[in-house]
Amino acid sequence: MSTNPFDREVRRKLKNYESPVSPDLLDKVLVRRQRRVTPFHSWGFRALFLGLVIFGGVAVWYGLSPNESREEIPVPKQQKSELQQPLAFFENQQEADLSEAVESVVEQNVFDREEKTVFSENSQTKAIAPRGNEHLKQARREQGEWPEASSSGVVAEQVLAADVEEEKSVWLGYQKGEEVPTEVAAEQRSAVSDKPAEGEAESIFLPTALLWKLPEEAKPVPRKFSLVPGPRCADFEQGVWQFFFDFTFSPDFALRSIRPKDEQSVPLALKRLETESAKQSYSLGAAFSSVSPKGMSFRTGFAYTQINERFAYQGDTEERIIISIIYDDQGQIIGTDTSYESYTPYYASSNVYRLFDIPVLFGYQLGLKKFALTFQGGTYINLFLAPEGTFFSPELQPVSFDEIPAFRKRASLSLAVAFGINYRLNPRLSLVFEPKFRYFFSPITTKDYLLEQQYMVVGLNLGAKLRL
Amino acid sequence: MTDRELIEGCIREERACQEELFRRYAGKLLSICRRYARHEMEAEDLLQDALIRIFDHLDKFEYKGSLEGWMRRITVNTALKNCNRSGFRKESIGIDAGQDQVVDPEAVSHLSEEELLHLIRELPEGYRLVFNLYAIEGYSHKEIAEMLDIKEGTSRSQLVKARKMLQDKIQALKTNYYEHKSF
Repeated sequence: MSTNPFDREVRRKLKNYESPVSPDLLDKVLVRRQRRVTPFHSWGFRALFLGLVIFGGVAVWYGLSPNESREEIPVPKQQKSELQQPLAFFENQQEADLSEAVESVVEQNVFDREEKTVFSENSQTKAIAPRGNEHLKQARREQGEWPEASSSGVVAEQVLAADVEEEKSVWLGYQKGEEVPTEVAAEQRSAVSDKPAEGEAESIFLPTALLWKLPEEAKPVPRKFSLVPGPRCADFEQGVWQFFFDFTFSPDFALRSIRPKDEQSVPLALKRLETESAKQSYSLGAAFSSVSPKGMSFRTGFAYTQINERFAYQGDTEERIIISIIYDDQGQIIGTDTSYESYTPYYASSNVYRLFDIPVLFGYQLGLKKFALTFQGGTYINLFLAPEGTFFSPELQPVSFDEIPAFRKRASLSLAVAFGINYRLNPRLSLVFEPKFRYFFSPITTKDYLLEQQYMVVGLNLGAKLRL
Repeated sequence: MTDRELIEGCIREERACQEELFRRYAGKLLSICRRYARHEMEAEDLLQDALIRIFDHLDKFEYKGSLEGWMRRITVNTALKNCNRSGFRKESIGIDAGQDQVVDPEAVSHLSEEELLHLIRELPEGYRLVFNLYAIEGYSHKEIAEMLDIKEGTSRSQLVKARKMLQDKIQALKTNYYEHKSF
């Protein structure tokens, strides 16, 4: 405690001084407390929050647990090399040996998906020997569909996939001694050209060229144009369910409209337009999203938006007296100088509107080689709105937001649209660039307030997206 | 009604107890806020924030000291959260503190509380904070340095400058008063 006599005297004077307090200040305090605690005491919001946590938990669990349909299954080295080079492999095998040698299999749905072919240890469908399809080949020859010997000089066994109904199995291969058309051979070579590194397990892709002469009943449904990428473009792995967690930051710009409800409110509207101006706003978001095999997406999470505005006005001109004391060299007062100065006080502060929302967005994701394009649309469900700042009252006096019940406790639903580009850094992590637009369906002001204050927000989501 | 009954009633959100607590202490707390705030509106905002924190945390009061002291600390902390710390750097440049001179305390006693509050509020922010914390609240320079995240030396020099500036203002006011009186 200071023992300086001057300090002591000031302390004695002010320590227990009671300033006059506005009697309605307690009401303001209690109203503010009530506003602050309301949203999370609602059972609806609690249920929504719980739902989101469960959804996120399931997504994380799904992402972390092993899943055979999504994993690349290592192929034994010897078997893999045989499968990578089917021509050489089948050239060196006798017909009778084929049924025994090729124990690995292609699942029937491989053809349906026309995507990454997985040789699964669990798939025990057995490839059958070519002799089982002699009748099919003969029938094709008669119809002119079976390749005849050409001048290409490529001689190998034609391995075709065929579906034998009785056995529910398929086989691939070339008949020894048959001549393969040049273009078919080229396609086959191209299809198997990606050789695996030494000792490295790798998924095997089904050479599409081998399907060119499937029996009609075994052929996949042809797709002339498909948004689902082929094996070489499967970076975003459409074809399986995917789950993501993303975190974004967005510099925003909030476009505000203020409309008077009647003619008497026009001066207030003009005064507010004159004294309030937009500042840089921003938003933060964290969300889980799931993308179906067809690319349809669902995204939800939490979003915090802060709309910033500036409140500035000039008060009435005031006059003040300035008295300067003039000292001589010895420090004695020899006189004073009095001057008058008029000045206009200038007040400035920041107004802040904080919004906590749950976005519920549906959309589509198109995976390309290094990028994914996303389109999303939906709504933001507002949990609560917390405005803070100063504005002009209907009596045209600057007052705090808390003094007049002008704003709703929750903003209305808002329409949200976003187009995004995800750039893949590695198999799990992508960067997100996502221009967005958000429109509030109704004003954030109460029904009793004289003006309608409504917003549109445009921004650019920047962030990272983690595949779970 | 004792402080304990008052606290328990406020915890139960009883309006009568809240009003009584407000009636007893709001005036003193507002005086604190006015010393730290730049203008009346800010002081009232500070008081609202402080009262919200007080009502929110009354259940944590441990009855180890006086209720008033506990509320004062919360109010001061609320005011400090709101203050602009950058004021220290700006104000310490180019001002010569001079000697810490002793001024007749009688000069202060002739001022009204409102005048004194007004003069303190006219001090630059850094001066005002340190002077309030040291001279009126009774914190040490070490505590002030920790609270404001400044050096102890800065706190000392700001106090000296604040005291000098305040004394000058009081002197000027006194002179002005006698001049008007002589006419």
